[in-house]
Amino acid sequence: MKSEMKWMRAFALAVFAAYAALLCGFSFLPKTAFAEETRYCADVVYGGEGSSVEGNYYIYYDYKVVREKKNHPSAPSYGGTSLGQNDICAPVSGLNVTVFYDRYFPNLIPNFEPGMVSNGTYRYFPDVDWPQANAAVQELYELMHTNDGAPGTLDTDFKNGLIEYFDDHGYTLSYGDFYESEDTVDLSALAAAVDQNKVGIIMCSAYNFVYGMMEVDDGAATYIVKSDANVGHIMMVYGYMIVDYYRDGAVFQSDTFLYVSSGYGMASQGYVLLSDYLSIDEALIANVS
Amino acid sequence: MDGKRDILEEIARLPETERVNERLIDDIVAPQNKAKTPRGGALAIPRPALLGAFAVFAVLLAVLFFCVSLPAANRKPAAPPAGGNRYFDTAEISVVSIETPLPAFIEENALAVRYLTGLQDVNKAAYTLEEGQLVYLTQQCLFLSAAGFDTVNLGIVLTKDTFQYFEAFDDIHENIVLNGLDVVCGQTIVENQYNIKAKFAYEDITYFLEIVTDSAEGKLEYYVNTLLGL
Repeated sequence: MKSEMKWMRAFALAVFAAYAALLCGFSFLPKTAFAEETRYCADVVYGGEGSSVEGNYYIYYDYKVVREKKNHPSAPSYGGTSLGQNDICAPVSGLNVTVFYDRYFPNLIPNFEPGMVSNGTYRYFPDVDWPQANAAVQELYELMHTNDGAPGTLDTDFKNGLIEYFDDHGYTLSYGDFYESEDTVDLSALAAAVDQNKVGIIMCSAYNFVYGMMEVDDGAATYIVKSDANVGHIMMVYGYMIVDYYRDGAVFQSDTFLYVSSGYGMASQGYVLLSDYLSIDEALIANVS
Repeated sequence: MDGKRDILEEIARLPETERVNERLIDDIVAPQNKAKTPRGGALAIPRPALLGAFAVFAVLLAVLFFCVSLPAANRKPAAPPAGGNRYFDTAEISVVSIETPLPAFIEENALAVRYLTGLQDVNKAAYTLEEGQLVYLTQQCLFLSAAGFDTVNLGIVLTKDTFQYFEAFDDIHENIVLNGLDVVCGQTIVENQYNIKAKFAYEDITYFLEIVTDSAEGKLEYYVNTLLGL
């Protein structure tokens, strides 16, 4: 009888361990292992390798303070839908960078005006099917060899394709760097880039994207609408923001968000939360002359 | 209490180091169990076998639980059959660009809807994936104004269904009347720009209007009037 009791205890332990293992398995989304060649695929349709899951969360506090903020007041965000293709984040992010610099470097996109001064602030126009932008993204798609043999774009093809585009239109593009680690960036380098009217690019093999931050419960909490994706993805970065959350007069959490143009077909702008679900391969500053 | 039970209790009280012939216990217990077995009943299953079966059942139950509950946790309630007030998440909708001029598309599909015409417009049509039913149109329009430009997004919903695509409009609650039209609206400031949202029904069509502007004053009334020709 005693040996049966022991057997039952061992069995209960085994069942508990099985449940725990299953729970852990679902809690940790595996990151896609990329070997030598990284292909950047993510789009609103996840045609490439990997998947996306909801990572929404609430954060409750007494109050919050934006401690530091450095961003361009406006940045372009295009979807590249005129291509009629999936897995096009590379040429779309390339287009966002190109439209951004077209403001400062005329005819980078031929015969195109990317925005105008609105109420005293320069604002980039929305993606409303501009023929000139459609032609530019088609050119980038070809120069970057996107979807050539496999979904997405190789890292070297993205970088070389963008250099080639600028070269073809009379300008020179080179890359600086604001990489710090897999899940964060060099904020001082990014701040300096913003001051110099430059933008950054992050190339990730896994990433999060924050669609929005909504204050709820009469300002007692923020609801972060976010997705975590283990898909290679490229986004244009145009600033950052550090938020401190206070409870009982002390900071209990600080979050740093990058301002990004998503590179999705929906052309949404949002944020990437640093020190979170993120695997940055490269963080580049686009220098144009 | 009979003699057999006394023996069993004594065995149970023995220290763990003491070894007892298990067949002896079986011999004592068996006649009692045999008496309880129904006539022509099932075979007596040994306890370890029962526990084994229970283990397999528990693991199967766990797998079944995860298979059912996890996908369900990420989904909205199932949509009622076509014809009722259905719910569609974005994965159930196919959105395609309208390549023909919008008035021609509206005429081809015999739609009685109002639409905007800006400096530059992007028009899209949304169909249910399952039935291919045209359920809503979207417009993104650029309007120049005296101070700059406004971006206006319009959703034109053709059915009584609910769509995840428009769920951002669930958070607006201010009720106003514009030229006799009941409008629910709300305004926020996002990155130093006004974001005005409004929803209203006109001639059996539901409209979702979003205005992104640097100058909010009078904009909602202006675009509602422009849309409806009021």
